[in-house]
Amino acid sequence: MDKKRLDFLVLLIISVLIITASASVYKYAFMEASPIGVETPYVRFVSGSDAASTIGNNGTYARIENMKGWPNATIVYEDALRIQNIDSNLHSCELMFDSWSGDTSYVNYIYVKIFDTVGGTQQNSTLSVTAQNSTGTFTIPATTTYYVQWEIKWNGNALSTHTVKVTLKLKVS
Amino acid sequence: MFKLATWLVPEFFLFLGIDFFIGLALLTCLMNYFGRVVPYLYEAAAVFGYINMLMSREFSTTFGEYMRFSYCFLYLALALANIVGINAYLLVSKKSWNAAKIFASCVSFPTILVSVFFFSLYGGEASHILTAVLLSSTIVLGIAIAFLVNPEKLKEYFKRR
Repeated sequence: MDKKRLDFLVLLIISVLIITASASVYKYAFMEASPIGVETPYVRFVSGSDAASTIGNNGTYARIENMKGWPNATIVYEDALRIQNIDSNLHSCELMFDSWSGDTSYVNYIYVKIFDTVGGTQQNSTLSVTAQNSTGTFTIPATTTYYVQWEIKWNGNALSTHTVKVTLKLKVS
Repeated sequence: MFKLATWLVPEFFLFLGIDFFIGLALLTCLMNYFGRVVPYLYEAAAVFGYINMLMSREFSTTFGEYMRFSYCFLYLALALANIVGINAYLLVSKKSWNAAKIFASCVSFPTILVSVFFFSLYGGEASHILTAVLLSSTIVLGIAIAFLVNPEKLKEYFKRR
């Protein structure tokens, strides 16, 4: 191999190393330079009329209290909670199962549905807590409130001492 | 909601400069007009740019954006000056018209165009002026390349007029 070819090979190897290293540093530089700010949430939870709920700061957290179901019968809370889009643009949302605990083996089903009005049109599909799925993506138009309906059914062996805790998460985009 | 990120950090110009220096190192190694040390000098310049980028990352909070932009842009300007310098060297010193015109159209012109484009993108509000500068520099470079392609015919054309 002559000198020129050897030089070129050496330079090429050094070049690849420098470019890889500098691209990696630039990636970090770029990431560090991006500020992460805070904005007011444009989708928030609001208390419904069928169940008492505690709403956290800025409406980004909600805890529905004292919902009860009957053994072998379905109890429906049509307006357990509301999801409100306060923005002037529409937003896509998806209510998803996160976790559940307690006497889960006594539960026949817990369904969560989203409606545009109480008793109105259901948005996308039904979230089944037992199946641990989601409502699928639904779109809330600008400055519109949607209603979260809960349907609870315990099995025949359930006692009044039995409870379950269900946690869901709302994805907003 | 996803938005396209169109902003740039000043270190991008440093990255661009490093790439240009590396390109120069490889090109000068391949061309027969330069000594054996020249490509290694350009490679050293690229390494210097990399160290500069590391320093910039470490002290990004201490240095303001204006200062970061200043030294990053200076580095890029240095890389561009070297590209134009090599072009001039081929043209004036080596009297190699063919090499000069190929270098101008394949290296000098695209690198300046790319640099001005990103500079105008970084400029934001001042982008209108910079776009005008980009367009005029493109025209000037185009004319210059036309001269280089066939200078004799162009001289004849102007003489006739």
